[in-house]
Amino acid sequence: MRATDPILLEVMRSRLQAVVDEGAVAIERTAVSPIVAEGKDFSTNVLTASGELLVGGGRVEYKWPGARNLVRATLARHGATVAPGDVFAANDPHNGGGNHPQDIEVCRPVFADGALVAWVAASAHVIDMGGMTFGSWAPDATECFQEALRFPPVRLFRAGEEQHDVWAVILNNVRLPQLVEMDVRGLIAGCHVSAAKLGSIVSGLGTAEFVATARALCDATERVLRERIARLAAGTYTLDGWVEWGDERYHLPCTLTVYGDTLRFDYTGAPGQVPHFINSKHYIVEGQVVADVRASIAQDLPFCEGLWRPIEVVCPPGTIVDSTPPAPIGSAHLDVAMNCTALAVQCLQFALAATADDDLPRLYAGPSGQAALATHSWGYTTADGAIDGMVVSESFQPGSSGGVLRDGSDLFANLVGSQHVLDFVDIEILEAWYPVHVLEKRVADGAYGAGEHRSGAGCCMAYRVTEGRRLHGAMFGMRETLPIGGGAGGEPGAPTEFVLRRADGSHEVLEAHATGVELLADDTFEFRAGSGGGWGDPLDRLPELVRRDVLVERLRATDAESVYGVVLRTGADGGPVVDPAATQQCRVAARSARLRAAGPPARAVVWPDDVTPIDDQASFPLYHGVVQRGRLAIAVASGAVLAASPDHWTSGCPVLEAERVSARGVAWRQRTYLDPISGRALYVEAVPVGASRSFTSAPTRWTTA
Amino acid sequence: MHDEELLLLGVDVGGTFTDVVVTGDRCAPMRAKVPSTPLDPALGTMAAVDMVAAHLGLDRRTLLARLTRFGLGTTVVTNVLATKTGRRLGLVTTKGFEDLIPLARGSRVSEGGWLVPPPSLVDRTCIVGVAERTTRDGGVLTAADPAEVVGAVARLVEREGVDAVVVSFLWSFRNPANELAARDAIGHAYPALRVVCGAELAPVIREYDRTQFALLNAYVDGSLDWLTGLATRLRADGLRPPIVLTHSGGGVTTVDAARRTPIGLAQSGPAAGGAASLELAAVRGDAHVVTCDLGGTSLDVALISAGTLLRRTRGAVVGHWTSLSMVDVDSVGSGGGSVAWIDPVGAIRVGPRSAGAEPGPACYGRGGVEPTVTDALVVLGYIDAARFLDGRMPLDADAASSACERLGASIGLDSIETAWGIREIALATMARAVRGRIASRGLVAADLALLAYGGCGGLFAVDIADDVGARLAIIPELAPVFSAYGAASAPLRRERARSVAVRLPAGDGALAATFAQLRLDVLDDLSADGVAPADRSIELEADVRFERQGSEITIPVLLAEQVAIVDDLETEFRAEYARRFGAGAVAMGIHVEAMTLRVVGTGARHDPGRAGAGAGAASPPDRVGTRRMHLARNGAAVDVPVLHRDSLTAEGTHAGPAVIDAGDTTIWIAPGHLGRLDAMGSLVIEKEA
Repeated sequence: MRATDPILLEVMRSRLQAVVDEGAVAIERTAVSPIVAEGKDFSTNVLTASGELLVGGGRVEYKWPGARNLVRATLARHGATVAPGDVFAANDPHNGGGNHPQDIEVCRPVFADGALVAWVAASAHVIDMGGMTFGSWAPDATECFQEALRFPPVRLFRAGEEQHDVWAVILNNVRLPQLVEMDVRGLIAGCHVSAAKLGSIVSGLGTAEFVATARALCDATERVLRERIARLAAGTYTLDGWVEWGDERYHLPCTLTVYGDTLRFDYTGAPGQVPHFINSKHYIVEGQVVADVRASIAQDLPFCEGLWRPIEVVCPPGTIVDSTPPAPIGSAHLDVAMNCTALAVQCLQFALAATADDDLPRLYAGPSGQAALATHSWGYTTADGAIDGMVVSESFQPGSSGGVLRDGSDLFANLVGSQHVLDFVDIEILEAWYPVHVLEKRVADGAYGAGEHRSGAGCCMAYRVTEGRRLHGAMFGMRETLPIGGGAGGEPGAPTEFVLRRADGSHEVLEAHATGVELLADDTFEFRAGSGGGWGDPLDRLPELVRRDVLVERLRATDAESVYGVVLRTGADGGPVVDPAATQQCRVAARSARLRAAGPPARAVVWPDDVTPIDDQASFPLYHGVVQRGRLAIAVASGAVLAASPDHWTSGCPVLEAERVSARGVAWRQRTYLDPISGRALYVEAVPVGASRSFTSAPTRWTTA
Repeated sequence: MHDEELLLLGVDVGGTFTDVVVTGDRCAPMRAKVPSTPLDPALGTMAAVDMVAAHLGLDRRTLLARLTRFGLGTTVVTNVLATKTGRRLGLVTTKGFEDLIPLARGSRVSEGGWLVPPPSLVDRTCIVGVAERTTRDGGVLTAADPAEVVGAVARLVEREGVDAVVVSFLWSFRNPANELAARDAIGHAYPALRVVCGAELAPVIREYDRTQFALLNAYVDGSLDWLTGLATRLRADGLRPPIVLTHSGGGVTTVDAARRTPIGLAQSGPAAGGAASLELAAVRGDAHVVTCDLGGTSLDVALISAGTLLRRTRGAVVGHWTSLSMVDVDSVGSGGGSVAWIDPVGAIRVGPRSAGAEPGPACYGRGGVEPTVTDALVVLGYIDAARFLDGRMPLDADAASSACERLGASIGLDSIETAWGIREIALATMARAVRGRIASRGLVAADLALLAYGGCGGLFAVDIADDVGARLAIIPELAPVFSAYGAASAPLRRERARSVAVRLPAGDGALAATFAQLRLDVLDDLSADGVAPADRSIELEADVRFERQGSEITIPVLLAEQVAIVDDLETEFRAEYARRFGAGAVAMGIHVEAMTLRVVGTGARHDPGRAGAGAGAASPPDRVGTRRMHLARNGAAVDVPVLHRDSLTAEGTHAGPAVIDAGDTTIWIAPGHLGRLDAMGSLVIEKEA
């Protein structure tokens, strides 16, 4: 057989996909909790004997890396004693688990002719794993020991024999043990179905052929991804982010180095681990970065181990990006990890923007809106005295960033990808299940994420408590102050907001990580999930699209004029119509006003020392709307010289700095780098007061010009 | 043709062709195919009727007078959705919830790597909210203000130019008062405007599904108006029974009902295929069947479990999600026209893009240069290029071979190996789709017969059956006009079900009592349908699950001395559960509950018989000859016998490898398998013992 058989490769990929799909269906049919059966928060995987990922099933790609972690930890702990009929489970992210302790990971070895040939694995978010709060989300926890029962890879079955003692320990420590048991047994069902199908594939092919083809699948994927990376503009691309916790901000720097056929994302400089549940783990950050790199430049490649090999993710141990016990980790895949991957995607977008290769498959879009979730949960006692609770799934519906040539997606975090994740719960179902009456659910309005292609809007929802119930809640939102930035001159997105309107007419804006929130009869709770940023200068947006947003009441006419420079009049039918001449005038005026209000460039290009003739120099992209010619960075539309190598291309941009204030009164800065001639916005950033430029795009071709 | 024999007629009005089939108790089915007439589909229907009458040696009036059934299925409604030629809609909904329809419940589809919402039937600018609210218990919190509603509609009509309006409010299925008040106000102000209410058509919980159902009906409103004219014409020409239409659920409906909710016919075509499969399976006695309709662009998979065509109550219709009782058909983009290509990692991929009819596969010689599944089958010898469609459309074998060769060159394969790979990969894709469908309904493949129809069904049936582990493959004789046959064959089937939701063991005889009542009701239904007692058959079943699960497993229940035996239900459930999901999946301390009890009654079937077959002839069948085929990836071609379908007998078995030439379709019997004809004229292929 040749190294990569083009027929067997696809036949096996297709069959492996069937294996995990069937496992996923088995879980869906057998699990019982709404979060698994309705919310689809589960996954299935097939891995090689040594724990290399071959394929994933279920909708949540971010769960698949957990299977790698589990199988590797299981091999490390149990190595030689792994036997047919064993079933292992773990939930501790510090020790073989998945995204957080609420995710139970299950795996089962597949043997052929007495030898271990593969693993099947499954994972689901169970309703509770014990600890100090219902659902095991505990923003108040300062150590992982308070958050949940945690266990390393242990056997639920030994050679087919149920290990009743282990089950007893687990079920003794969780709320709603019957639900947890059924969900875990659903995972075992998924593994059973997958293992049976995989076994027949292996026996049909023969072990040697199966192993060789599995290796070929990963190797071919690695090879193609390396080829693509090698075509990117080599160099260094950096971006600073900040993770919020109340009034604290943790600085999170990301440095992408593109060298040879490798990408290195380095989070060195991240602060030490903190006594809050936002700490993450290396394999979680790495898994999300790998998935998002694939979405940007390799959607057509199989989601397998080959993707990991050309991507290095550096997370220094003992920091918030790779914590160790006793760091709490209940939200290990959200606040820090989602910000890490959003930064990584933006750094990769800088590299893509500096790459002159029209044939490279790539999708230009801002980062996912997932770093702007408005997650919150409520616990309550039902009329007949039982404990119950709800995680409001609408809170997982931020808006996505805008992308090149298209607006962002409303109530949906990602503009690029292969499938959707969560289904909405109908308002009538929500009201039938829970003691709430919904007043509205719509796209959040406002001029957030403005751009030539604006961001999508997050979910705006308000509800009231009914049946005289009393709800006790915790918020775990993100981006209450600093929004996600835009791309190519697009403005930052929307922040996340939680507002409590008491029955007596008073109201308060809650912290994004507020705990002990009480919602009483006839109080109204309102939230707005944030969004990603816009794409391109808002003054370049088609006026007709602006008119449309005003018509459907997602944008006020005053914002149409002040943000987009579009002047609307009332038409004969009473609706808004664009005044083209006034709009043209307004936009010209807005651009000159920007230049008048802007501060001086960091370092204006000085004639003639810095400037060399460029007429005979080839043009290379540096950023959207900016090219490199020789030693100079030039704004494409106006021809303005922005910088001379090795200065950063923004050095010659006048800088417009606007003070912004969050709903809770925290100030931040929106800083715009302008084209010195046209006044067009080339890049907009959202930074804390006093922070310097947050990004660097330094392709080697530029710094060494 | 026996004089005065009563006949059944089925028509399938498709986008391109109108098929008709006539069957009776004592004659072989007769069929005809004419081009469809989209401007007035009734014309094509009448032409098809005339043609089949001529085949039977009858005139139109004589044929119509002898019909006991005129069944009709159609894709007309589907075509309106697919070509986006419906009405321009406006939507009046509850204020604060105007965005929900365009948001499509969070569903997103991939468009070149971008995730976008599926197309909306109504533009966001044509959706207006009005202040009104009904609560979950049906109380009116805020009454709809007629003046506000009319003002909103005025803007939609005058500014947006809508020509139909849907009114859909929250909780209207519990109390439609606000919705009806709004409808009446609009009707008063705009008497000519078509107005459709959510709760009126589908009074079910879930506002998204309900609103979509109303929008879909408003969108395709008017697309079935031609049926009224057809009915008048047929009646004038002597047809006695009313036209019955195959609806999406596989049952039948009337012309008036179909015009009121036209979207009910959106899945009429697949439903008719399902009805035909059900009929065939019932005559054969196959209780569990997976059906594969394999055409040029797609594979449609449906299931029959315990004698019932599986349905779903929610799902997508041409990409639009809604609540609609429909045959549970899943479609994947894999068919004869699927194009092969090389992906970035250097593997061959097949589909989902299809070469369609134009340019079509390379071997059609219409300018297609990319190799398709059909081209691979020609290269390998499964399809005889010279005798394609009975020789009416010879294929260009050299073009097929060059297309495969060009594709293979970049990855170091010759044309034969490439063609072999395309077929293997297409097969793996089809098998994956079939497996997925079987798994999602919780069925066991080893219990299933696989029934294949459509242009390519016969060539892949045996291999798909093997791959998924089905016990045998069936290729019906009427495969090319299966939907028309389904419209003709009235499944005389009655079902009664009751939700019980009781924990097992129930103990007090309540389950047996419920079964007894359901059974009496079904027997009454069957006698109302005129089924003689001797012809009735009754089956009992229970849907059982662990408490709080969302899916059930259907367990058959035995009847002893007319009493249902329910004592072992829990034990049988646990055993079946362990068989499917493994012993480790069976929870110890969790209760088991019976959710639904069901009794299904069927009447005796028509046996269309097979008068045309060479009955009794025991001589070996005529070989048309042999054909050179490449069955293995490498090595020389081998000679495979080719048999003509008309020469087959019910007694003989035919060992694979063999090819059955059935005129407009070809059937493949793989090595190690035996094919034989059953009493219905279907070819049945099983593994050699």
